[in-house]
Amino acid sequence: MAKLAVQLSKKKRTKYRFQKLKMCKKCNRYSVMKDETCSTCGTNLVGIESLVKSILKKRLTTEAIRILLIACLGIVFAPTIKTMYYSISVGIIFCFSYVVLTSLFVKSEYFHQLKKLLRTDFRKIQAGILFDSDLAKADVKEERLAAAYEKLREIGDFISTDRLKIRRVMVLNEIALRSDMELELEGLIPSSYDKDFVKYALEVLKINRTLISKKCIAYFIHYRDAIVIDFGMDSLISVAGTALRMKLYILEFSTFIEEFLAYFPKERVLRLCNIIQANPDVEWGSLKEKTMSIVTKKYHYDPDFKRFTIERERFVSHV
Amino acid sequence: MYSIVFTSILVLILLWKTYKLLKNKRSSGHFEEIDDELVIMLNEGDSIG
Repeated sequence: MAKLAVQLSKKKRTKYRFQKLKMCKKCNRYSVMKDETCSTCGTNLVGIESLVKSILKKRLTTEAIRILLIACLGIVFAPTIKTMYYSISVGIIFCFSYVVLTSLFVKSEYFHQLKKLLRTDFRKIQAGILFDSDLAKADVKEERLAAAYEKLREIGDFISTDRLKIRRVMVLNEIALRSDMELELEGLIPSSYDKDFVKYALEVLKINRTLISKKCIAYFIHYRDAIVIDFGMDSLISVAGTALRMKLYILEFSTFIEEFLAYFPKERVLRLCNIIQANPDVEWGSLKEKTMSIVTKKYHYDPDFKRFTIERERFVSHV
Repeated sequence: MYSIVFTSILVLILLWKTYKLLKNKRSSGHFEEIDDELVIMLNEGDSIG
């Protein structure tokens, strides 16, 4: 089946995840989507921070009114003129102290209110995300893959279940991936073997090697038998080749690299030789020996490898 | 007498308010903690997917 060419928009980034939460005051529903209006009633959504600020403002206003009322009652019920003046002065000092005290603790009060709101509205937030998830499902059914993926991506910031990861991967497998797309891989690694994920990872590997992280390579090693059955040995060779991206990865996965070294293309072997030569103090173990023996066997005639073979010959003759 | 009672009530309110504000300040932490707590709560039970 032909993959769909779509344009994915850039992900909206916030310092904290909760800042993505919005609420429709009319529907009393939360959403984590990028949209500024409610998908049900069209009302403007209110961000969680504005919501907390308005709740805090309301609370402080109510408290201020109560305090003013107490001060006023004191003034009204004063038995003499002298005590009335006294009550007015004390009332003013009291109100002023209250305002100063509250403004000193406004930051911690905001934090406390936010925490309280998220805890009390937790079920509502969950229901809102579930609603967003249903919207994404509807988008998939109607083949609006870009919109569906963008929705699932936003939900993915809050929900890290395998089910959601696989849903995202399945949508991505229907899309023609391009290097200009803001792709993600590490965050989509499921906790067990999944064929769709491996298919997606191998596609990403062709487009952007830098996304293949340590965790991803470890996943391929862990499920290597199943991967070989579903995708053949070439997939593991490609991943092992990608492990040559960083010195740290080479050291971490040296046994895995060694296993597929003989099948690497020339460019990968050359890269490995360059890294080994540039870091003579590093303990490469048997990887160095095996690399040099492959260079001697397969590339001894190749001018690109001449400097490595000369060095090896010098070393052997010295020994 | 009236002045003493009135002043005492206002001072008590102020002390109570200070206590509440200090208690909230002590229990407040970093926004990262709120983020983590929210994610943990939402992922409980694997209900969304």
